[in-house]
Amino acid sequence: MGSAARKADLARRQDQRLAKRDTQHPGFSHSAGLLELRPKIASAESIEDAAIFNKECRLKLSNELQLEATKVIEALELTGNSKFDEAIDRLKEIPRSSPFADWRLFIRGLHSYYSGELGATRQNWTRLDRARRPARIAATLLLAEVDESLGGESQTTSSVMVEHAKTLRFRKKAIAAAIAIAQVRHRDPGTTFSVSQSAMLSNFRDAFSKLDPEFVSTVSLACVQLSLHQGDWGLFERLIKTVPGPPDDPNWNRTKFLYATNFQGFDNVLEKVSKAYINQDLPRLTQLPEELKNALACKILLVLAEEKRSSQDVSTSIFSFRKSKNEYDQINDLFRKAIEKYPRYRPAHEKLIGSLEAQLEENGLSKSNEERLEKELVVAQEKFVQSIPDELETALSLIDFYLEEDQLDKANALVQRLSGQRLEDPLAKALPWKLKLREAMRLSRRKTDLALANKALDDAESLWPTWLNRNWLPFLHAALALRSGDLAKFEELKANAIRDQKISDFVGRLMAFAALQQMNIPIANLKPFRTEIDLQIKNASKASLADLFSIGAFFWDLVRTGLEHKGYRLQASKLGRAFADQIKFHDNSDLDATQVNAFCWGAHHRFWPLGNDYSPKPSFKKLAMKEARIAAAVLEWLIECDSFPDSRMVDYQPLITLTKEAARHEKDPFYRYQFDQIADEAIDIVSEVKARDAQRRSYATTFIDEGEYSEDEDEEFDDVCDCPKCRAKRARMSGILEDEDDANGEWSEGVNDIRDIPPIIRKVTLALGPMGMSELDLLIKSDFLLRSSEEFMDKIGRIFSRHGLSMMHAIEFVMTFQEMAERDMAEIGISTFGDIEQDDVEQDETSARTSGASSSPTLTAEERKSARKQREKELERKKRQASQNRSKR
Amino acid sequence: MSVTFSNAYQILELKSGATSEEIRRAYLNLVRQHPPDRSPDKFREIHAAYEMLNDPMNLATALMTANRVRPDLSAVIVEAEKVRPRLATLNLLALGNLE
Repeated sequence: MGSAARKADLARRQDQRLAKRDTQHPGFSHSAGLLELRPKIASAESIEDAAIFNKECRLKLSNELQLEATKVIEALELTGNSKFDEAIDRLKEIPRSSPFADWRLFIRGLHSYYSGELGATRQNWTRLDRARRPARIAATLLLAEVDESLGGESQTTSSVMVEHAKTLRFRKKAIAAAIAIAQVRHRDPGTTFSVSQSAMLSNFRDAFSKLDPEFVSTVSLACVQLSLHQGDWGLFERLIKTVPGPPDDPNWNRTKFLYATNFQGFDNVLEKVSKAYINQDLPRLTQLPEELKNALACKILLVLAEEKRSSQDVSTSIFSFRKSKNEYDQINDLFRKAIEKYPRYRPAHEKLIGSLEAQLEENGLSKSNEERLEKELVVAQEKFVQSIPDELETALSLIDFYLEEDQLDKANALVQRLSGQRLEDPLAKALPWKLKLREAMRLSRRKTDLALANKALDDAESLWPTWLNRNWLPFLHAALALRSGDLAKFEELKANAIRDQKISDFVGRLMAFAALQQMNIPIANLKPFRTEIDLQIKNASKASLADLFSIGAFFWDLVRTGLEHKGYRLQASKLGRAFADQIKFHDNSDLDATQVNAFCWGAHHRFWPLGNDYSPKPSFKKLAMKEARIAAAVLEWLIECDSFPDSRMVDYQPLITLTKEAARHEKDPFYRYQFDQIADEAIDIVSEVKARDAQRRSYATTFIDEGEYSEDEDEEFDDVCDCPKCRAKRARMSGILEDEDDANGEWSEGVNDIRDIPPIIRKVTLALGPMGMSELDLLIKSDFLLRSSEEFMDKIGRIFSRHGLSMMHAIEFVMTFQEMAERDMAEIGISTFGDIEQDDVEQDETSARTSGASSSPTLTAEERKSARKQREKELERKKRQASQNRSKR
Repeated sequence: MSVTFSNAYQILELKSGATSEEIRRAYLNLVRQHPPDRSPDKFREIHAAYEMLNDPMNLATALMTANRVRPDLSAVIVEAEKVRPRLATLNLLALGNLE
């Protein structure tokens, strides 16, 4: 084909394309002529007007006028880009007497015209000189605003102006095309943007992008937004190929990232687009401030980490126990990168610290891993405090760590820094006291420093906080006396303290022992005291309630000031259990200050479990309504309790109100501050629950067509709702499915992929629903070692009963689950117990299995149940033993 | 009126996506019009809107939050219709041609 023929062919194709476009958008070709229009100098044109678009004319002007002409040109450009303020700035430099004053007036009117304020536009433009170009342009623009026929134009309107005005009518056609896209009706109510709309949008863009880019962009972006409200990744991808992204997301990578979070198994997409946005798009977005870019990168990395965590949570749910080190490391690295990007963002620090703490709380952690994580935690906390100087809680925790590790310089520096701030927290105000006390304890290590230790203790005494009991002080002095070798003085001081404080010998010994441990009494000297204490703690169940109250109050002082001694944990748990047992039978109607403090200690450590309906005992509730400290303790207990559903916090509104109100009147600064903090935290939880409910309701109305599901109202239930009705229906539903399973021998279509899961697990999953399962999951993960203990079974039984399942279901579930878990662990070679204990347990489990023969098909159901129970008891005993051995070791 | 990210632009009489310089100018202009001694409530509102838009993390959070409300395309069109199409400077100047 020759070049002439090829040109002819191209021209023919172009004509065909234009003809097709014109049939889709009649009148387009007329408007398209507007783009070809260029200003021409008229015969009577003033040189100033011509200077605006003709350089030669401009050069003929004086320098001053040339400058003014340039300002007009700049102002016109800026107005075309909607930068009205900057345009006005340029015009300010043109005096009223200037020949360009008409242009100034015209541009001001043009701003009103573009904003759709025709009244203001006319006001500006009526004052224009009709002989000049600004007036002619204004008249043409206004002419395009009158009726479609343009028949009513005045005599002053030339035919050229009418033609030009017609070319300005493209917006009406663009609107008609856009409305046609909007009016497409979908058969499926879940569709928000269809393939046919996508095709229409493509035509619309082809036709109007050049003429009306802003309108086309607005409509196109709205179409992309619509497509994000349905689960059609393919359509979304096709759509964004034709629509340029918004200025802050030109390649749609950020939008893709957010959209991909709605899809399961899109981990690779998330990684790819997040990298593309952070590493490629953001550096090129020079119009965005650096801080905003960093903030965006930080947010993306946090979402990515959360997505990774939740996707791994699904894979590590109840069928395996923990994430691998590598998985945790990946998540933590993302948190660290997020912090690097935007160190001032508090949640990023909190998430990293939370993740490290969660890792540290996991069972079966090797010593080296524990040490590594502790180091990482300290580094994360230091970074937090460094980046956000008013982060008090972490600062206090770090100070405690430094003091325990004898890093007094670092502790001192942090205390100094905090003392420069106006702090409300009484614990923070008491830091100088704590520092002195810790110093005394540290100095007591060397006998040569004992004089200094005594001096430091005296200093601590002078700084002793007013809100803290001083009853430990004489025991600390006594301990220092013993450290210097004066046993008689120690005994004398101890006896005096016991007498003065009217406490029992047991309580006195315990307080003295705590002081001796802190004052570094050598192990050999400490041993007789320890033996006595251990013996008494062993018989803690026989201790009087009065003693337990006193001990509880003393321990509360240690806990709230962070001064627990090394053996505290072991002693506290045993005494706490005894305290919880006895307080059940105590008339709690009238408590004194010591008793209230002991109660706070018990609540802090959650020594008494919640009732079947996740409520504290009625007697505690009554007491809480009378005593704000108990109310705060109950609230703290509920907030800290993992298995307490946040949704139930709403039921405790009276306690929240009481605590908040008490914060205003409480005289004790410690409690005043604590009430405020706890009440605020509870209020936040309630607000979040309410917001979540509101969001769920709005989703339900947006996405669920009620009519569609109303056919069988009886079986309507919410997968997430925790109300008794939905729980019962889920349970019934699980029964129905189970029947079908039995009858057909296999599951119906669509659930084949979970056929390998044992029936009891399927049944439980259906009956509990997502919320119940997550609660169960949490319980299982919370303490692996307790998995077959009575307490654990009791908790599981309570969850099951709330969802309409029996205790038998619970036992069957635990047995099946254990079998699966042990199989999983054997496969991956994870040992949860210590080596020796694990061997021990495995040996016994094997023998229990052999003797119980629980899976033997020849046994009756009764026999199987009995064998299971027997095996469970045996396992429980052994594992408890293993747990105790491990703790002791 | 409680200030949220979406109405902060409205309060400052800006289009969403305005640059930080535009935000600052709009804020200063409005503060001049509504000084705290004369209209304290309005001033508080303007200031809160400015704080909202001036903190990069607030902006980033808003940009990283998926819009839960399904956009109404018809309403978008009606809103867009109010604003006249911008013309390129040369095309605009050509509208004054006499032939």
